[in-house]
Amino acid sequence: MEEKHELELDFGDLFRYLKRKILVLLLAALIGGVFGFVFTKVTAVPKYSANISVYLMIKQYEEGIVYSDYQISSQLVYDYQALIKCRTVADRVIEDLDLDMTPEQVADAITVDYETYSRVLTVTVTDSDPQRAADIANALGNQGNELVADMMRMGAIQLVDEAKVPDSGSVANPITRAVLFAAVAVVLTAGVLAVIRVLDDTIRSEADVQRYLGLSVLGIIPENAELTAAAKKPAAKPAASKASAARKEKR
Amino acid sequence: MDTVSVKKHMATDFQVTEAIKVLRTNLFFSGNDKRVVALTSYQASEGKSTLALQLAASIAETGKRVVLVDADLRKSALASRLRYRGKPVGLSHYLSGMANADEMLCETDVKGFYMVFSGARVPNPAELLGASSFDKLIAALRDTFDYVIVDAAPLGQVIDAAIIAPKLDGVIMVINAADNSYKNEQRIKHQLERSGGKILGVILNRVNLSELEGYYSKNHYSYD
Ligand SMILES: Nc1ncnc2c1ncn2[C@@H]1O[C@H](COP(=O)(O)OP(=O)(O)O)[C@@H](O)[C@H]1O
Ligand SMILES: [Mg+2]
Repeated sequence: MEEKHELELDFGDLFRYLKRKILVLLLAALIGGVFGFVFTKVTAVPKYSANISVYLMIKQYEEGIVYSDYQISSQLVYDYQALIKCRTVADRVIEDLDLDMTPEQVADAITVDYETYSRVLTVTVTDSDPQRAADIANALGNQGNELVADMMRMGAIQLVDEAKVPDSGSVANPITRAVLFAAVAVVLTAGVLAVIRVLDDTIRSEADVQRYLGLSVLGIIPENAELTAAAKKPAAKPAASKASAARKEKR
Repeated sequence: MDTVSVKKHMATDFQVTEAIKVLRTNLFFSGNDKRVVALTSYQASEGKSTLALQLAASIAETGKRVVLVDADLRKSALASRLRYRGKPVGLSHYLSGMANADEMLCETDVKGFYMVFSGARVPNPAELLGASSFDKLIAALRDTFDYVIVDAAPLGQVIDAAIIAPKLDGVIMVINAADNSYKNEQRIKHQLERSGGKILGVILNRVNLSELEGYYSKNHYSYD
């Protein structure tokens, strides 16, 4: 029989260990969840969204609209989405509104949606300041659209709806955050517990005795209050037997 | 001879008595030449005295004659644990020539079970245990008793157990499953082997049975 010294991973043992530590893990989930909830409630800044609607329609002939106008305009929907976020537009908006933002921040604040088979786009600007969200959205609808129209070499882009200053913002959902934090807390705690278990050098089982000492086990004596009590207060022996009798009943 | 009350200290809990019986059976199966056995451990308070007492009493219950020798001359726990109020003569008196074997042997209220307490505190326990008078005592007890259980001092602290180990048939290492380090256990295992002692095996003490699921070996049934 050989003694072993090196670290060994025993996944069965790890699993049983974590199962025994289920209360610790549940506690971690609870703490993580409560923290996530409270943290979100306290720190979350509401986000305000303002949007404009834009109608893209190219007119190839002065006489009127022809079928191919629709087709080309539909294609331009994709170009518009990219161009409205370009740096030239962002720089112009920043300059006109005298914003303390980088072009990337402006571009990130913009989302463009459209209905399939339609040439109407909704440009939404999300910002922590409702007034600023509306200002940026409107700047995009005016100066922005002019620039994009120039780039696309088409006539004016029609602004259908102007942006209004939004009066209510949206906050990150604290419940979703709570669930996320709880999950992260459980995973981290399980990881820490697993490391503790793997680094633990305690002999706990017959298998450990074999592994570390190469000796056989002659006896496995349970932890039992009766044996503790026997040493500390032999006079109270009946109490000890009562305690063990109670334990037997519970089983 | 004074009579020591041991009966009231014997475990009654089913799980404990069963576990002690398994230990007793495994000791019997270690062979007829393993009749003089010491219990030691790395630290103090791993349960040597507790288990030595339960094991010895359990052996006596099978009708064998057994003596429990408290050779932990530094802690001398058994006399106070058993609330022994008799003559204070024990192993240290015998080893230093102040008493003879009969004077220190105590009868108990369990038939066939005798006790040798540690006696007075002495400044040189290792020296006394290493002397030939200890060999002589073991030889005499071996002739009189079927089993001699020796409660030895913790080997992580003092050398005593390694000194007596080669004079006995074997040594059992008691390991507190709730608090130990395999490196320390390996250390005392090697120390016992270097001293010429024969290690019969390990007793895992203070095991949390619910933690053992998936481990409990099938060959640990009691035979009686
Ligand atoms: N299996 C057990 N369950 C509960 N307590 C125990 C167990 N074994 C020992 N003890 C307690 O641990 C303490 C130390 O035990 P003891 O036998 O005096 O150790 P040692 O002789 O090794 O120094 C005592 O209070 C004893 O009652
Ligand atoms: Mg002791």
